[in-house]
Amino acid sequence: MFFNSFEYAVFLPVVLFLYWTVLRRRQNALLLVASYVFYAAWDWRFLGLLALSTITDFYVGNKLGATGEASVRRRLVGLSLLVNLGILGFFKYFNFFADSFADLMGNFGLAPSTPTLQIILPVGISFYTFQTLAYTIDVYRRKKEPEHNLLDFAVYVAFFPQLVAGPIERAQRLLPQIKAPRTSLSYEQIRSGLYLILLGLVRKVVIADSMAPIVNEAFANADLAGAGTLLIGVIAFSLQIYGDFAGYSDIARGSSRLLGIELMENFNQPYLSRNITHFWRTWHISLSTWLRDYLYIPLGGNRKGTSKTYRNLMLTMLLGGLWHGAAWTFVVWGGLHGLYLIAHRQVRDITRKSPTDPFEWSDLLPALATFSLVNLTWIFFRAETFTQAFNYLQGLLTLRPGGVILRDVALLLVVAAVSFALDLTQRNMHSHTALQQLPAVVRGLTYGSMALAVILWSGGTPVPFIYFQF
Amino acid sequence: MTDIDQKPTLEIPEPPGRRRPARLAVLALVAVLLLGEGVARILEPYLAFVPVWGSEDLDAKVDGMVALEGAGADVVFLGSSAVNRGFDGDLFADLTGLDAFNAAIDGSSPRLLEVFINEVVEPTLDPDIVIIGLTSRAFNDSALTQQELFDTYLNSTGRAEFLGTAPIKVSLETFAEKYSAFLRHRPALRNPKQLLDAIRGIELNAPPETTDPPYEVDELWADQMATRSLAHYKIGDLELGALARTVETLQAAGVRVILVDLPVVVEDWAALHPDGIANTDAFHETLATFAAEHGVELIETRGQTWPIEQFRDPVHLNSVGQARLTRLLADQIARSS
Repeated sequence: MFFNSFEYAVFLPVVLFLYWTVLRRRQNALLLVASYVFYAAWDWRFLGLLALSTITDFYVGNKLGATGEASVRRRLVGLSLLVNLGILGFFKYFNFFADSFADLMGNFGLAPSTPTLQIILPVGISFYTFQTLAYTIDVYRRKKEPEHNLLDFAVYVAFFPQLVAGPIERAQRLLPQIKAPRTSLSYEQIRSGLYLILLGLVRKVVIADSMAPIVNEAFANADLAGAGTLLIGVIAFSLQIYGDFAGYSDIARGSSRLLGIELMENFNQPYLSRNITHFWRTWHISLSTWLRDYLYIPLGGNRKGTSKTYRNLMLTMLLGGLWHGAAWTFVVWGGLHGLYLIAHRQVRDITRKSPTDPFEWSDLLPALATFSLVNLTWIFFRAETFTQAFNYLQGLLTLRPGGVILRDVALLLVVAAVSFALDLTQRNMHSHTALQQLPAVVRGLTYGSMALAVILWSGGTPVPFIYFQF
Repeated sequence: MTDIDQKPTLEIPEPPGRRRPARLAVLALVAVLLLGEGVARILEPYLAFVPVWGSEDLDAKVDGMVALEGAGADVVFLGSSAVNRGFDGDLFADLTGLDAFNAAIDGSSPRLLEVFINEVVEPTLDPDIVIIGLTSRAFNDSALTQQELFDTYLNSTGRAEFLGTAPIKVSLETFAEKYSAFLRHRPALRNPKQLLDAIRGIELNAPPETTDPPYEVDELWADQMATRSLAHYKIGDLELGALARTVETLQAAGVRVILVDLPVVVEDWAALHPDGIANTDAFHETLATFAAEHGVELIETRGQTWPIEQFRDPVHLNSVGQARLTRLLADQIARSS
């Protein structure tokens, strides 16, 4: 069930109606059923994995709370890691490592018989696995009390607005909201929740989906297309993936807000970033902070000298790349970002601005430079093979001759302008719901235009969200 | 489970001071949506037709059948564009006194006809006589265009709606598109070129020609025909099997079936086939054998002289040719009645 589908347009209002009326005293039970129905709409067979992850971490959390013995606690957290990373490793990375091993051996003239299984990747597995792992590690570190109510914990793991593509919520933030009685929903919550859903649909249906054909065409012809087409293609992809993922996050936050539960902001206008460090503080925030707290800092962070800081940064970004997908192209994507972050540590931002400070015209050049660097990495992220990525880069960097389709250029410019205007408004008004502060008539005209654009670009089979595959 | 002691409420009422601005915002929102609809309606004559059955011709034919509201037709013509151009229904009705309906579909194939007859033609028209016109194009199992139209028809929302198999989502969308030009023309409205052409007032839904164009083998048409409709010419079980099932079903229902081997400009038409005249000859022989085996009346035109002046292109008759073929057919009906 996609957020941009007819099914969800029926599902959400039905859940909301039951949630605030007949089942208002059983809200969490309803949320759990709704979340499992939502998940089962893709493939009911993987509900067992979700339940296994839930029960394992619930059990481990409670056992951790009940014992103070260090060795037992280590074994318990080890069990959680084994189960969660075992599930993730098998379903997401088994074939990747088996094939990579076979390729490596092939370089030495050996041809080992490695098994390749037909494994279906359960949707959202990377997200809910990281969320449950974070809970167990926090309980292990005594940063969080164990949760004793299985229903509340199960809702925390499976909460449908953020189940399949985040934000990866921390238990300290989400669980108290799930446990607290939700007795009323304010006018502001309704208004801003609906607005976030509309905004998310604009980002997804209008911005991301309209860019998809341009991107597909450019990458499919990476070996033949001219530099102009390739440049348009990669910029279109940067808009597509941002619109797609930020749109998803907006709809998730809007849906959740209508249920009286606040989800964290996952994006803060990342393409307005003045440098790569700012980019990573505003792009997929729930993942970058997860990697910081559960990987970078435990590795030593920046506390053990320059070389180890660089090593930690690089390792974190390489694993961050691999988290996205079982392919070496994602590893290279992470590696490039690691290199950028290391390089940026040499040239500190002399303006001392924070990542979310208002955008000024003097920020335009640094933002364009950062955007260009990020675009370079997107080539590896989007390419299906290294050959495709290298062909793409070659065509782009050697200024391969070839014409461009003016219609694509025009569409890209319009979409880029809309995306930039949305981000600029949000950044400089310090709010994701900034448009709500406009005068009533302007607001209405804006909402109407947004709704009209969504209707115009809708119809047919909904395009899946890119991050669902991770 | 969350235990809620306090009775939950949904605080929908907005703060009193904000009621007027909120209403203004809603009004502005509605105004934009209405404006969008208005613009779409103004541009509609200049926007490409949006078929729900898979092609403009199919939509027109189904609309025509439904408009008869169960009155039915004595005679139904079926086939592809060669039949559409080849028969004059009014003239036929005058000559025979029978109600006739031309249900041929541009670009169709026996496979499409089989489904179309069973699902739409039979239930709506309940004909006594079915006349199926064929050219060698109909028997090519490797044709791309025929396959595409067949697939489009099978997956069309019009068909799903007609058969009552459409999901609720599709039914709602179809219903909304029926009343909203904006919804109906979404694909064209988001295509800058089509939109600009529409704003410039370029008429896309042009009325049909009233005079005969001179005979011509259009290069683009010929290329499409040779590379997509007649390419890899192969007579097999696919199309022929569909025709056999159609004939058998109609005969079993007591319907009289007449097959027509349609006239063509022999040399120009054969030249579009990969093996030229060998392919067209194979078609004529196969059709003759098929008719004999199934006990179907076959009207063969290839023994007659059909001058180029009676055609608009190698396979489509002009009005003179159309009148001649219609009379020929009316005579056949009269003779055998």
